Amino acid sequence: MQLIRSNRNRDLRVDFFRGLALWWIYTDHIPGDVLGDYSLRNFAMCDATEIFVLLAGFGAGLAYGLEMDRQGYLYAAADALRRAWTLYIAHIFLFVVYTAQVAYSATALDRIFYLEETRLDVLAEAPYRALLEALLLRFQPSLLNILPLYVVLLLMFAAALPLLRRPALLFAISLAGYAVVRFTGVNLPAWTGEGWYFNPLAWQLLFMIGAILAYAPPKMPRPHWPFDLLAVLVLLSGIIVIWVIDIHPPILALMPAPVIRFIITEDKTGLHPFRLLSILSLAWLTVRLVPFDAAWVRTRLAAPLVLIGQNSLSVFCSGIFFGFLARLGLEADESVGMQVAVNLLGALAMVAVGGLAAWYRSKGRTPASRPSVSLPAVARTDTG
Amino acid sequence: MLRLASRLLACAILALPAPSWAASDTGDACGAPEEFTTTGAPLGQLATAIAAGGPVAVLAVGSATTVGSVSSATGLPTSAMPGATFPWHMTRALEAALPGVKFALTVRGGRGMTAEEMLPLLDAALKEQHYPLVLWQTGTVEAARGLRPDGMLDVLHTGAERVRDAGGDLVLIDPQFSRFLRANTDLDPYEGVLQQVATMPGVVMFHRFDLMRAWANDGRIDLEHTQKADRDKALDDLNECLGKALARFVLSGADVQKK
Repeated sequence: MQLIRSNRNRDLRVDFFRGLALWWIYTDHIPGDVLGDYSLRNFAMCDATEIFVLLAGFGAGLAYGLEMDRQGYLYAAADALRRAWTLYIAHIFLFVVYTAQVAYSATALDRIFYLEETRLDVLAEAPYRALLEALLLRFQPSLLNILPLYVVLLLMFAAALPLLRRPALLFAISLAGYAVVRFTGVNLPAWTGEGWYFNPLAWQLLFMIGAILAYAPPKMPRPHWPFDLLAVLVLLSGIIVIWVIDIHPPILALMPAPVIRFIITEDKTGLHPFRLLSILSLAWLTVRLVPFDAAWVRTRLAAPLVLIGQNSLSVFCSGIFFGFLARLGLEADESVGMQVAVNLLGALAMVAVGGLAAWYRSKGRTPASRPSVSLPAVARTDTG
Repeated sequence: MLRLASRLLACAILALPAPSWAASDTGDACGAPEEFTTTGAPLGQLATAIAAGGPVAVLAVGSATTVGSVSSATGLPTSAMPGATFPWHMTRALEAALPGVKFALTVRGGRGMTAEEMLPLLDAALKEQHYPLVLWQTGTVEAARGLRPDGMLDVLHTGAERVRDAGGDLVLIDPQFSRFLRANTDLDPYEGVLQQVATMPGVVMFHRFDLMRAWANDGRIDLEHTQKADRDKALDDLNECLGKALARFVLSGADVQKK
């Protein structure tokens, strides 16, 4: 039984790094998990979220772009909307599960701060309103803010789909939108007065860049070395900034005011330019260092991450649930044994969920049951 | 002109030999490492007010952990009860350390408030009376909501200038240690903003997050690993220890000024 989907055209690097991002999202969000101290966010001015959104855009560009070529715009856009609907339903289901899990734990263990931290406390204060606001995506408890972003990004993408054929124009429009956000701070409204935690109007740029790279890959500019150098410099300066803010804040006082302002006001909500440059630099270096046909991506060692990367929605949703269990475990027992247990069991559980989803999908994909599959696997399966 | 006169007067008073305040008895501040309880920057206004014999008016502005809070849903305290938060413990510790000097605390703010929402409260309080010492605890709500750090920087800058113009020293206090906050929000920019504002003259930063992390690592106080039955006691201990450490911190700032 082949759980990992691969063929000559499929870029397994995308699956692998998406899997890695999912694993980091799991470890990063467990309070007190030691592995959270060694993930990407500790070494770069970007984290798993940026990888996830860039690769989501890449997957969408490939799948719906090719679909548009074969079936026309309307069909491809409708398929993207169907996908957005699936993500929306998954989000609402996850919202209910997570709320039940956190609220039950908070009352059973008398840890009311769980509700405050996850911002679920308003549910008790205004339950009727809260349900409506959750359905409108205007009420997003912490951790449950990535899927709403993904839903809105897909909606925007469905509208922008025809522009994939004019990538320069799409990029210009997307960049202009991003610039407006950076200068005005405009954001989608949230229930409690402020905007979305991940501002889709800003993050769309990263998604569209991913889509363009997949559908209309530009020639890599030559010579390569100036870009290699630039990427290394961006990432190095990110490490220095993290080192300064985290470990040696007095150095801040020695820098010129505009520089300080630029680096300390690095916000994730509006995808600060430093974060954008960091993820693009990482992407450049990854493409330079890991060739399309790299053998290690196809090894057994890489297989677990590739597998969860190919089944990202199921893995992401269950990861949120497992992550909260892991937190309860770490709060009950601080030992090294518990650290090993939550990380090992979490990883195994994610692989198991990924495997189950892959198995189910492969069953549903047999020619007998779905004769209409006319697209190459690469097109059908990258939507996450 | 008046300010110049008061500065001269302060210098005159401070030039007099006086016992070292930092060495005054604030207890052992719960074993707080010295790096968190000393500041190299002078708190001149506080020093002057103490030297004048008090009473010293102290203003504390902040969110839940400063004003105290009770969950409206459950009626249980989510941080210390109002009146038992760390600024109250700080003034008690200061009075114990400086017999004869009275400290009068005013608390403003509220649960879930951002620095921007606190600024008008700060302004209003500063207009009512002179506060030689102002505590401003903020950053948690901004980080949790992912608000833009540059907005917070501007607000704190403005607030710091107002405190200075009103003749006060400002102690900025960062979010409390929380593994959840660390894992689920991007804290660094907000810490960076606080550190940046603390480079202004008359402004210092009390590193509550790092101090509480040190206590958690020592196994002294760790709210997130405290079981149900011990929660209230841990909250009390935490606020008392923070109050003592903060008292020692501001006294070290007042003491630097004298030398």
